[in-house]
Amino acid sequence: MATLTAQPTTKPRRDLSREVGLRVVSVLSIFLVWLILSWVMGPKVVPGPVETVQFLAKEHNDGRLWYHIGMTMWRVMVAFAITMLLGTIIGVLSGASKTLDKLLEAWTVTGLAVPRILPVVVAYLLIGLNDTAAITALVIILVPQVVVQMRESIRAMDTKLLEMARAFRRPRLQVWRQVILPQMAPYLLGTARSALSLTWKMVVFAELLGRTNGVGYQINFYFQMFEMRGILAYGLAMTVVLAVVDLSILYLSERTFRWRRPVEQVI
Amino acid sequence: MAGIRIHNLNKSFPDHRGRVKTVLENLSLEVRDGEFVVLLGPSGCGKSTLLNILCGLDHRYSGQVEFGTQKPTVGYVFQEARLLPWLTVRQNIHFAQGGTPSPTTTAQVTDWLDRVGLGGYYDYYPNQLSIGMQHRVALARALILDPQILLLDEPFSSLDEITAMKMRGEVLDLWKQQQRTVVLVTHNPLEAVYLADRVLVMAANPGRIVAELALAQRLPRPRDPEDKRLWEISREAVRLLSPHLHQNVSQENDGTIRR
Repeated sequence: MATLTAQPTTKPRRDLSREVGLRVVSVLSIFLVWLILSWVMGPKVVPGPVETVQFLAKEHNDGRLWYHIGMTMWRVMVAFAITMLLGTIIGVLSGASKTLDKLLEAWTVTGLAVPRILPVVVAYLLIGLNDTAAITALVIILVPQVVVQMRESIRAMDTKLLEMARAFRRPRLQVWRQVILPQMAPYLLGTARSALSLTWKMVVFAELLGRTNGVGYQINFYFQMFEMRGILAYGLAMTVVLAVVDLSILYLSERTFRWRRPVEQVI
Repeated sequence: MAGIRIHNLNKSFPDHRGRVKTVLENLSLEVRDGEFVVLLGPSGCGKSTLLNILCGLDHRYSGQVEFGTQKPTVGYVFQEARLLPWLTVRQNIHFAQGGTPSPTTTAQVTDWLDRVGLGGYYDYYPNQLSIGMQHRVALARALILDPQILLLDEPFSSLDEITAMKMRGEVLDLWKQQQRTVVLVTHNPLEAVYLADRVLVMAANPGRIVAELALAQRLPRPRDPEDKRLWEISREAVRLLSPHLHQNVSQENDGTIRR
């Protein structure tokens, strides 16, 4: 007689290798498009991946590459950390209080609508061409986006679960840890990914406008030199670094949300 | 001692048009310590609201709600399972116990999951279980606390009849062993009569108690679900309920309350 035994479902090995395969194809397709573009436009206008990596190796050997990437990463991380901290606190408070939400509405709308170049230029003019100005401008640009996302995470909270926790007289700390934070986590990780991506783009922009080091500065430098390989090399290096960070967040997200039912099982 | 005394309880809130809707009106009742009381009534008669007030989830009411003991421990089984989807079955039950498992609490959880027929499902997530199984986890979560007062809001309505019978038996066994005060809400007259010492029939618009069936003498325990008297009394409960069911339907169709 056949016996059915209860076993939690695990991901089959074949599914995992298919996922890895699809990701490899995705990466290769980027390089393929790049190669075709280089071939069509000519290597002087659009250097191919090989020329770009060779230039990158030269920059590495000269000791410039990691110095500039390090400076950019430092600015990205400081701006990102301040943005996430401030944005999460303000977002959670305005999601929980209608009064605060109304009070902050004009600030949030203005923050979202203002052209992103404006805070950078104004901060450089008011504070000076330094890192404080750059990071201040970045935080001003990014905080409204995080506030909006985190406010929505509070508004979307399943109140029935909170009620259940109250019915069982659970202490506040346990409710935050096991009921509120897990509900905020998808928003938090999603916001972190988009904020990080936007931070890096804005940092490069701020460096290009008013700093004397960093990837943005180097891109500007090679732009003045009409050296396309340098522009692509620094763009590629920074993209790879940020992609690794982004994939780490994605991996963390998949591990954190393994309790979710995959959408393809439902639709 | 954890009896319950409710005197002149009134509860109202504004409806979607901004008009004040009275959910419970001058409701008074007494539940003796260790008594099994069932509230039987149509949808919208305020049964769940009453449980929320008893559980301390709703403080916006007028009237008196008193317990025989200071801050009694309360176990609540909601209409929906309300499990935390990111926690496994075992972790969901540990949640009610404080969240941090110990060898003792782990053994208790295992025991309760076995009792509700979920042995082997300890590490499943709620979305991997059927609705009925999720309800059994919710029941185990409330019962494991050994509460002085157990509030059950239609706990068996989403279970198949065989599982429901088994679970009713579990609740009765627990109640007999520990003589806890139980207040159960149901739409099912047969279930009400099978379980209760007393059935309180409720009507809607506004929610109030319109009849009481004392069963302790009329239907001694243990009760047989096939007992003719049980069926007769449940028909009596239906007769008491019927005029108020009609009233509820009239109200929903034309928007006016007819008594």
